Amino acid sequence: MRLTRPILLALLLAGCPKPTTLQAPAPVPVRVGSVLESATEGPVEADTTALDAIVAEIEARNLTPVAVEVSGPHRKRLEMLAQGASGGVILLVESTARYSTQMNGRYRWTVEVEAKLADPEALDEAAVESFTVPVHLLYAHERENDALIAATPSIARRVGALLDDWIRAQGQ
Amino acid sequence: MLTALSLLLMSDASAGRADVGGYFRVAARPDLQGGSGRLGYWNLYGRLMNEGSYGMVELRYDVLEPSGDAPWTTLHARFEGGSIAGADDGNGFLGNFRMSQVFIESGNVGIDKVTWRFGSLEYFFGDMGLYDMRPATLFFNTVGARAEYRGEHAEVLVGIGDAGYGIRGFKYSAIPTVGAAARVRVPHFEIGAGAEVRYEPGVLGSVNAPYHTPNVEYEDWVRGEVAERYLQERPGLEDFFWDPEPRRSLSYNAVGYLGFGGFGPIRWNNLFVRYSLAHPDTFTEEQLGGKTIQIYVHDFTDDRRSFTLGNEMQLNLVPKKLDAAWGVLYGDHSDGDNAVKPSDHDRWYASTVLRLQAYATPTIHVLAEGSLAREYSKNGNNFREHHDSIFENTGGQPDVRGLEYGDTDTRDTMQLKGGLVINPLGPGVFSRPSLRALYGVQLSNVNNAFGNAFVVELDQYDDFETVEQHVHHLLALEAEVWF
Repeated sequence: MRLTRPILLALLLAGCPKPTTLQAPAPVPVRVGSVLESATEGPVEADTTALDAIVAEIEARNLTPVAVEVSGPHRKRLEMLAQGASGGVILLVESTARYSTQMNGRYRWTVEVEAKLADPEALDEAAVESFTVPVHLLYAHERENDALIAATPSIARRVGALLDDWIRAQGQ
Repeated sequence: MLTALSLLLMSDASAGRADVGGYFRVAARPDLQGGSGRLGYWNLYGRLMNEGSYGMVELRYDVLEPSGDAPWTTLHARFEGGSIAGADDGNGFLGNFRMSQVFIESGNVGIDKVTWRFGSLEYFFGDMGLYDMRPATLFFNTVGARAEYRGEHAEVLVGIGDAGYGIRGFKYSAIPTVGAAARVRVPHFEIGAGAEVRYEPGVLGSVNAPYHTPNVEYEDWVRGEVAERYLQERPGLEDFFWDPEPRRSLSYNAVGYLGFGGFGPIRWNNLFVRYSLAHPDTFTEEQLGGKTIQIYVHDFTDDRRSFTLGNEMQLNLVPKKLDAAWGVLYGDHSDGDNAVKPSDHDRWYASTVLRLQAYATPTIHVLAEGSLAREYSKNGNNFREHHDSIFENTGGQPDVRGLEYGDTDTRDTMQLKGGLVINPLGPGVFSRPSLRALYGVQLSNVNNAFGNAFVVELDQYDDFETVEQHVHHLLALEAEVWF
């Protein structure tokens, strides 16, 4: 019985409203693509977990996501996103997963991410966010896609910050 | 030291990239029952609340960064130890830490998909996270070279090195070690096996090489009465203690692994098995006629075998609401040379641990864990059930000269733990960081079955009374992170 109040208090705090997400003044379309590569093997098939999280970040900012399948080298991916864009921006998130070592029971991977947000008419003037997310997987059979899934919360947050910067820049 | 090396590597990043990773665990567990802040003696009852502080930092430096098919090479250096200031009796002093691993790996050299490693060779098939144990581990003590092929459906590893310093320390004697492991993978299933053999040749004249001192009785040795018995039988012959006879030592590990999952509620299940022959000891020392003598014990320690079976299953019981991890561990240790004294080499134990984690929100969870364990000493009594229990032999008779301890050969332990957990990265039994506020209780047939500083002697002149407790309560505020 003595534990009931602290538990309820903790649950109550957990339900407190989060800080308001920055909102774009108009629902601008964002053509978004996500690619996963192995550091040594090249492109790897990924499920939609990371892309779904990025799409959710876009929607949360009153922007309109348009998921586009991209492939090929970096420049081609940007061009595939820009192709057919009428206004709005493009967002390319490229992740490279790399196995590091066994570490006291876990399998350490790093996911190097480069997110580019650009005007489809000015691909060379993109805003770039580069960062590395370490993840520690539990099982040997878990590979690049599992590393990407584990890194997804961090990737989504950093991509969200990139979108926030762009929204602020639009208001200036 | 850690920071200095980190900065050194980071500052040189223009030549290649540095990456710092690691693990920390810190806890405040004020123990109001006279304990040292751990619920029970060891992690047979689940690692939760039975392990202390820990810190580990691993530095990875890309001398040549991996890129496609080009050769690459990286340096790894790992520091670790079990102490953090204010959280344990080591108070974070660096003497509690060690450079546990250093190795350099290189890939795309010679054979496609093969990684060459020189340095520390440790390899494991997987982990039992509930127990913090890795039964299927090879090359734990070995430094040398290995080649590892990592393909999508198979992994093969071959290694060779020296375990002499890892096993002997300052009593170093070369222990060449060779071993191999293989793992095959198809969707939802993995199977693997491996073995290592360690051979320590005799080196005539080397005091650290394997020998055995003849004519010594096992019981005299474990009582520390070899010199006393020698003098009783040979008065005045202190300078003529028996010369040791050379030996050769052999030990091995054989491990197996089966993994499956990804169907129904089973996220993954790891089954590990290990059979080991431990490496024989070298010598112990006693005083004889004012001089220190070495008693070489190869023949007394060359038949210590152990069998370990462990299984851990991770379950998604209710998606995004409730997960579970269930572990079972069995160990059987036998010492063919010892028929007189209880020891960790002559026992069996069995344990099961179940952890449930419910997600009140994505980041606030409720944790509950229970464990049941039995430990049995095969060589007679090894535990004490009461504060005033006299020492008994297995026949129940008092035996002050006996080699047994306490009044029972069995320790039964039950633990229950629970509390609130903050996991900022979301759901998952093993999601980290994890910030936990926990309460735990242990029930044991053994008196004060946790690390403590109680008086245990029944001496009428002791300043402190003995204490009897079979229930142990503990609160914990603790954090754990991988980074």
